[in-house]
Amino acid sequence: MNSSTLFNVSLVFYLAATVAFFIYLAFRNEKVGVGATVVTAVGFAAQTAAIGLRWRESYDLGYGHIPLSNMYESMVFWSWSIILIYLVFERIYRNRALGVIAAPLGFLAIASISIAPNISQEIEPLVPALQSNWLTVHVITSFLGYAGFTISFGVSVLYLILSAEKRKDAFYIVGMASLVTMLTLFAATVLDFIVQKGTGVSQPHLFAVSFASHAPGVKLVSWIAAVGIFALFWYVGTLYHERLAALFPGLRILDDLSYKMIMIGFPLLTLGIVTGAAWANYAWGTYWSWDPKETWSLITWLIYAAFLHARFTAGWRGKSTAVLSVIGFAAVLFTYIGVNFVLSGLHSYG
Amino acid sequence: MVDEKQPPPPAGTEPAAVAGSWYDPLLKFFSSVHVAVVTLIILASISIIGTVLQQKNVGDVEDNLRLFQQFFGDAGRAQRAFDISERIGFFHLYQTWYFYALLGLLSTSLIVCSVRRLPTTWRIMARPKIDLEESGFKSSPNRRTLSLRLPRAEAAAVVAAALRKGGFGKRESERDGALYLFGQKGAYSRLGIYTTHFSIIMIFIGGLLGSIYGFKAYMQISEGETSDQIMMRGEGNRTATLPFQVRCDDFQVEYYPGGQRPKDYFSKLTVIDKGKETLHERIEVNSPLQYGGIWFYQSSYGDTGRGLKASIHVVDVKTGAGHDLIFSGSEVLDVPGTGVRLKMQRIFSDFAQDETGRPMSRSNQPKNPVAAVQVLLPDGTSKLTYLFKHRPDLKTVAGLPVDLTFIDFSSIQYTGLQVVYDPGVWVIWTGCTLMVFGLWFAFFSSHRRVWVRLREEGDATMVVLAGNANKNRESFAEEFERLGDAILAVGEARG
Repeated sequence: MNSSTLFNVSLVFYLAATVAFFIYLAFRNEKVGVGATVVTAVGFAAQTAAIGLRWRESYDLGYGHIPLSNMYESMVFWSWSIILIYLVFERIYRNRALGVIAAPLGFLAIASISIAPNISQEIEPLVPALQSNWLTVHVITSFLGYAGFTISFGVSVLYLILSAEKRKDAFYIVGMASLVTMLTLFAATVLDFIVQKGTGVSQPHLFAVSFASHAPGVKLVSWIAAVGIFALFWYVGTLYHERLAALFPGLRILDDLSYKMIMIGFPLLTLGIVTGAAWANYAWGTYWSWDPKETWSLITWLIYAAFLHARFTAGWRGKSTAVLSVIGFAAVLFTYIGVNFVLSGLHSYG
Repeated sequence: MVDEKQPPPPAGTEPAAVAGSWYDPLLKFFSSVHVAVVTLIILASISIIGTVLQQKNVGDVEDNLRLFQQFFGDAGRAQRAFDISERIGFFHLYQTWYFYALLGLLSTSLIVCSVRRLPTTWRIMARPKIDLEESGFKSSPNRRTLSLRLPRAEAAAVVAAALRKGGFGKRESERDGALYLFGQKGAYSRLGIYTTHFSIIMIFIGGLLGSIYGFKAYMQISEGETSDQIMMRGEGNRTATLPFQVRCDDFQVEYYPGGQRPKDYFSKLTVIDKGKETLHERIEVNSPLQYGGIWFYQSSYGDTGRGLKASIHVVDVKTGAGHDLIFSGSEVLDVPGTGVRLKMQRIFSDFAQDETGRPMSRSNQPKNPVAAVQVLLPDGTSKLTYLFKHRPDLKTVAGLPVDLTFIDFSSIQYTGLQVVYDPGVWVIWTGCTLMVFGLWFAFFSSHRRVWVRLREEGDATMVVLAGNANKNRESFAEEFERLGDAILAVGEARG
């Protein structure tokens, strides 16, 4: 048994949990609900064991470091954090509604990184700058924070879609666009994976067989498909509005859950930034150097700070704060992934 | 169904208006949440520019020209965009006057908001209304009325005991024949947000202290040498002299198996202050040295190219006899019993070939060491061969009477140190710590209050309870229920 087999086991369980949570919400069956939680917990246990095993494997290779050091490992940890926060939340608030958001997100995070081409799943040795206990604290706090924001994003998208009465509602369009963007990105990754496995040729870059293809025709078809999916979802979304709304907890609860997740995420992101600064100061003598990753984490922090003030002090509720949560998550994604691919800087390793 | 906008939070958090001063509109402006939120959004948006464009002292500003060319596809317009960006400070965005102005606006907003709201918050915490009006009891989110078959004084004792057990600090007061008890806990949670805001100001102050009184510099010391010269960063490479000297006793690099990726590199340093050796320390990345408030960080390393020593293992192909030859510099050594002589031509520490195919060294780090050795044969001819340290199987010249293997080489290395003095750093860490604690109290603790009115009615006492919490109301509702249950249980047992 090696760690990647165990990761696949957890993947299957998270997928099963996603289905179970949907059935639970559709039929309001407590037994199915308990089952969904158990399946999630088993998947989580498998994933925890897999992370532990990978840690040991790194010692066998003579490197010996906690598996939090590259894109693949951090993505796995992100997924793990999402599920952890969900399970803890469920225990405290005795509410399973979030499962339907957390389980698919946990699944998607680990699935997309496992199939993404050109993402190394190898255990790599650490460069000297990363050999520090600060690495552990910095990554764990940052990603637990990211996980809180991720769940808040999922809930907010749901809120925007469910709260709309009309198709032309701008908030509804933002919600649908966010949902379809995530689904499209995942579909494009799956396509990359299939083509890579089928042809045995590794792709030059992400989405090389869809949105980033060199053939203009393929590019065009991809965009038409994406817009088509959006149009379909956008149209169908309000058609079954009542039935959809009946599936999920009430809007007030969703609004509250989204806010609670940001309340968990914000202090953790703060800790992540502070520990990152402390580490940078210890390694290079500079606690803040305006490197793109740092700056983007600050931008993310500022957006969520604006969210908290809008809600706490200015009394914003519902759609307006849901949109802020979506914007905040876009900043999280850019801080985590976008910076590595688009910009350059100290964090080039993941 | 959609709960768009609720009225602003409970009264009492709004600052009292100060009438008729000239600075009134200013105060009003700075204490507005909307101004604060808009400042946060503007700061976030403008910061993006500095992550897209390379910044001075971090990246290469010339890259921006290439970026503009890609974007505009026209050299003239790209150059214009570049010039304009440079003039308005986009290449040192975080040091521009307008970025500082935004930080100033944010600080002012933070200070004004806090100063205006703190007195009200303090009143809520320190001087709560104990004898709550009937309307106050009626409008409370948590209410309960109990009838205890006890005289008022005894009922009051039961309530007081329950409050104490629940961790509520108790006060009492009497009005119109009724006894009022009040208990609260977690009042400090209201200070969490002020602590957080104050911590941000502290971090700004710490940053300012560092940039005014601190310095960042670089120094390079070869093994065995002593130096007190540092090169200041970002000041046209001005040099300065430290008040003490640093000697590099040794420098070493360790590699991961495979020999390409450095695992660890460290310098053994000695501080010499007024002629005396005062400190010996081994530093590496993530483990700096501190002396007299000045920190030394392991930052880079390299080869000076001096004091070269190389060892080559030579095997006589005919007899199979082996010898180790140690070269110092480019001397010529005999291979015993063969008549062959070897001349150490050059060592490439990081071997590569340039565009014309000529051998070169990519860096002065020993990533791919190659020895160029001239083999002088007994017949007077000579052949140049390249020996790869990591690929002993690779032979560039065939048919030599000797088989050569490049064992190792060493030369005097230098260590590159980042030298930093920053008196603001402790202010920063204090600010960061305060911020984390402030956020914790602001989010995860709540101010919980309970009001109780006891009034005698016949031989019983009517006990009316009211309570609220400023956060986490669900859990307080449960606590409030338990408190009522406890009072009822004890009261009935005694009654």
